[in-house]
Amino acid sequence: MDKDRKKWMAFCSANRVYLIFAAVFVLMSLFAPRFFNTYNIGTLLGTAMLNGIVVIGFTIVLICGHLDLSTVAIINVAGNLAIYMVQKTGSFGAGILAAVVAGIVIGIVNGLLVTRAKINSFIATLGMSTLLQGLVSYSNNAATRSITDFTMTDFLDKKLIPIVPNRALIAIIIVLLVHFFMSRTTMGKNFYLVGGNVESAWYAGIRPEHYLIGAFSLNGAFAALGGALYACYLASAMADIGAMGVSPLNMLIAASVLGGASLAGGRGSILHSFFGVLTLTALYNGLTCFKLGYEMQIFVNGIVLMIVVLMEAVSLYRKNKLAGSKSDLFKQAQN
Amino acid sequence: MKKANILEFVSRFGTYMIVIILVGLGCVISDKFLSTTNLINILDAVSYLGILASGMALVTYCGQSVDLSTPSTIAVASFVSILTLRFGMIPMILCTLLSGALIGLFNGLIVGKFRINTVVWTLAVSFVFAGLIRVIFGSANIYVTTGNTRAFEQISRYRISGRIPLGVVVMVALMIGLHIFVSRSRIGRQLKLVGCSELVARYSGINVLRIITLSFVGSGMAAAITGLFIASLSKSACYNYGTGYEFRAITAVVLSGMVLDGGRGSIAGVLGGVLAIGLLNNIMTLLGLNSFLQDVVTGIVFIVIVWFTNYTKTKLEALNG
Amino acid sequence: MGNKVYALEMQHIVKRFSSFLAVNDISIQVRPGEVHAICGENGAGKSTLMKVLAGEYPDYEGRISIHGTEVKLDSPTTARRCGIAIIHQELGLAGPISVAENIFAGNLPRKKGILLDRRKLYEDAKKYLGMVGLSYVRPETLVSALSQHEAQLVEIAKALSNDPKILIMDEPTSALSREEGKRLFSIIEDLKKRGLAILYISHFLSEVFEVSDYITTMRDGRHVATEAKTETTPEKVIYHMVGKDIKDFYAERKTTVGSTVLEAKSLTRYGFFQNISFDVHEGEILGICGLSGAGRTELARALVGIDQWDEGELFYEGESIRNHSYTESIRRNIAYLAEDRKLQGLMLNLPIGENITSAKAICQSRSFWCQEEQEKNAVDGLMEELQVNPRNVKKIVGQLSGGNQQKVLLAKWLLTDPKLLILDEPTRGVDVGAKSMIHEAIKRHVDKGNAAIIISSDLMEVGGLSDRVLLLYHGRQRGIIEKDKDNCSEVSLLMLANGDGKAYEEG
Repeated sequence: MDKDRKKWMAFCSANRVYLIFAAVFVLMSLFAPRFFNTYNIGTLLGTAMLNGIVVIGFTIVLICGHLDLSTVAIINVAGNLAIYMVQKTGSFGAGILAAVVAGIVIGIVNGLLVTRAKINSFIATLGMSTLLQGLVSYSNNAATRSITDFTMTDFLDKKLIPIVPNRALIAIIIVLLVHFFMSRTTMGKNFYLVGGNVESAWYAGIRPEHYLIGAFSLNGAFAALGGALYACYLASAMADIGAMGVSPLNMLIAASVLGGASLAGGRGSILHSFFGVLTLTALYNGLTCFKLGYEMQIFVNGIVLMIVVLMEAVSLYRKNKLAGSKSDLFKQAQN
Repeated sequence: MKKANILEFVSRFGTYMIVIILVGLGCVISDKFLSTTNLINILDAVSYLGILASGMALVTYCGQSVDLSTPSTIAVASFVSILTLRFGMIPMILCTLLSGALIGLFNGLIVGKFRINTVVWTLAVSFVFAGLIRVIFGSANIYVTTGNTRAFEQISRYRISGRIPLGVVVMVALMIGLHIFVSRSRIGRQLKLVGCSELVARYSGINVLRIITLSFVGSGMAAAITGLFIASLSKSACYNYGTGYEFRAITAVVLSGMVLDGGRGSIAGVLGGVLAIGLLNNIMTLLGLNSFLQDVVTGIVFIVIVWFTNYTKTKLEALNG
Repeated sequence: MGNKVYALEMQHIVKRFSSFLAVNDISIQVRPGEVHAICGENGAGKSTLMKVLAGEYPDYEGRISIHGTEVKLDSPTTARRCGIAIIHQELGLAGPISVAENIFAGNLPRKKGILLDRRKLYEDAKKYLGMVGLSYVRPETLVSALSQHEAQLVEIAKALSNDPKILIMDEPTSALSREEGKRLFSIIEDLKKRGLAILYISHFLSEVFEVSDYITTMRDGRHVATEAKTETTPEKVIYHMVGKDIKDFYAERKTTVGSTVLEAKSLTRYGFFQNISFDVHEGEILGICGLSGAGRTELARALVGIDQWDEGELFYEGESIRNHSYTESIRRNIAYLAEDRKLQGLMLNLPIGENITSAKAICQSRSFWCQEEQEKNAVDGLMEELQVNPRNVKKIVGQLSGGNQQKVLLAKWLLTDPKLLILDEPTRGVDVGAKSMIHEAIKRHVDKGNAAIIISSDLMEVGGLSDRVLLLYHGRQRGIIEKDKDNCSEVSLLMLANGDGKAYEEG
């Protein structure tokens, strides 16, 4: 009996994010008006694109035991840079490429600040965020930059396969690829080791600083890719995407923590984080169906993050309390 | 040994060196810089930040990195002040302070008891309260309608003997008070010990949970005072009144030489950090720099100074073996 | 001796820390398929010697040969390449990662260049897990989900996965129960048959005599004796380890016993210790003796109120206390010197003065202001008495030697003038001079009419200082030995703590 229960608990905690996603989806389908139809589900998947791509890099950094607060600023830099390049060259490819390169460069700088200058990642990326946000706002005087070329919008809105718009398809493909890399290659597994126990990684002959710089530049790359695609889709880029509605940062942290990543490092999965994004997006979408604005979304986002964090902390607290006890003595004492 | 002394000096008085350099720079740039009006303006511009940072510094000093719930606390306090003004000035001030203290109490008890990562937890709290405000009041400003509107306005506008704004007085008084409290009182010393090592503090007989909670309550109340001033300044309350303040407060705290691990630095150092930010902004404004470019420069200066602080610290540790 | 080539030959190894010789001219030879135990008390230099072999100290002197070829062990990587695998006392595993990935950390099996060969990973992991008797653990399990002893065994599996020629085990049983230890010994037998040379470090003699072929004893960094197991006895080894008679070290102390300070009646904390009863009087030192993991520290923590106990009663100066808090007990004038001075005892980045006054001026006092200045004379007096070097209150504690740090920790608590002083490993890793200084200070304090409880793995210390000794074995009380009635020698204590010899069962 006890063993079955334990197994069931283990299954639940391993697949937490899928269960929660299913629960949210089913509840919304049952109760939210106009939630469950192909059009709305397509919209839902499409909305998840930006955060779905960005959460990849964000999770990799979390797996390494660090936090990148400059992610939102990178999204803004990338969006503005991409639109600017499209204005100049007329080519979407050039815009996206330039944005991704910029993202990687920013990521490398972040990584160097953390590994070489040994600045706490939270502080380093916070400073970087101010700097980048200042640059973006300065470049266009905090105005929205836009283009009139909607070819990319049309392409991203098309549906190569039914229900799923292309932008969601792109996100899903990238997520699956990176998930495969992180979970099935030795290099991907080394990221987990670096986050789980730096010293043990060092003893095993892995260079932690290389992996950290790699993680930050991957975050730069994916944040930039997400930001650039999103800007091209909207055919415009805001100076600060986080100023309106739910800031991507809130969503990213809540989604990856929901997906099992922790700031302590060594834990997390790209696919789980992506499902975290889907869950929250479905939640927001459902709230909108109830005619509740993004005010409620921000509130719900915070509550979700708070509950997940608190639950994990409480279970750890309980576990630590009994650490080191001798099970045989314990049983005898109880009898 | 000599080198160690220099490094020690730098790591202790680094903030004030920055302040002195900036003052020198200011004198070179403009002859108006040293005028009393400009100096008071500098202080006035950073007074709210200073109040906020001195509270946040308690959390950092206590080894709990940073309190990111401050923007929401500021917003909540602004609403509480507007809504309770009808009951009179004193009840309004008490209620506002209480709202900050309660948010701090909540943070402190949870973080102290369950050892949750402070950054994630306070961020979550920030989302929840920001969301709550927007759910209840929408995203618009709420204006003062009832109560002693004139007195409320005067909180941010009153100048002692016509010159020194009340905010500056509050900031300086708060900093002096907190500095003495932190460095001289028994509880202040307990904050330091908890910041140095929670475990050792616990084994020395300190009630660590109580001390951590206290630091968060201090931070919450300081944020509430800031919120009150901002509400008085704009005669309204809005969900986004605290946005951006957290980064500037963290900048001030980090510039003060407090490391995020806790137990180092002083409140007087925070004053230095706040002054450095004020001077930097003032000089950039005198130079006619765009406010966005000011952000860029602040970001760069911030990173460089943190880098330098870390560098001296590691060198110092290497020298001392 | 045999004509086979030695698997490991160390000649005249010396390792110094500035002026202190931690390892002084040690020569050891180990053949393949042989278990060579190294015995010695805490601070005898065993662990330093092992760290030399692990490649952590590139600046050692002397020659090391492996299978006849001389090598220079200048980094952990070199050591691993030479076929040396070490199992540390501290666990070096990554908690959130699966067992299999921990075993093959940095060396994950690949296919097609970059892909992780999961089948091979799990199959190989199963193989090594089977070797250490963990075949019931699934390789996908996370390390954080394992118990401490399972993690210790995974650590051994990890060491084995590098296919070592020489395996070094540093106190491998410290986290294991007796049954688990037994399983480890059968694993060691297996490994011997595979031709591994094993260096086994322990100060638990019963284990040493169970697994090893040769026993080398070290004392104060020097080599004392190397004997075949068949040619020696535990008594002889203990004599080598201790070297001198206890009486030479600890002068007789006139004990004038006063009223009872602390009395415990069948104190129990579920899962940690059970039915512990004792009392300690004014002017008396009570020793608590037992192997690490026997529940000594947990008992002390419950006595001072850091942890709560579940059953039983505790009386302090005749007054019953029920689950008091630690802050209360400090106000009651109880002091507890924690076991780990670096993590629990001292603020390493604060100066000596602030550390010493931290307990009295900050935690015991009730005034609003911090009155550190008033303690200045007392602090100077204590530093003089304990001869803390340097005698400069501004010096940062982290920069002091272990002995001086421990003196500062003692001074911190002596300043509170405790009625009851509980010391957990008061002289671990401390040199002989500082040790006797600390012992003298404890005796002087007790002679003033206070009581003390000493917990220590250093049996000479427990035997020499205490008037009575409480024996703990696996969370249970084995009895209390009176110094004058029974033969409270170090040898008998060691035998009892190991679970051998005549047990003084109660009732």
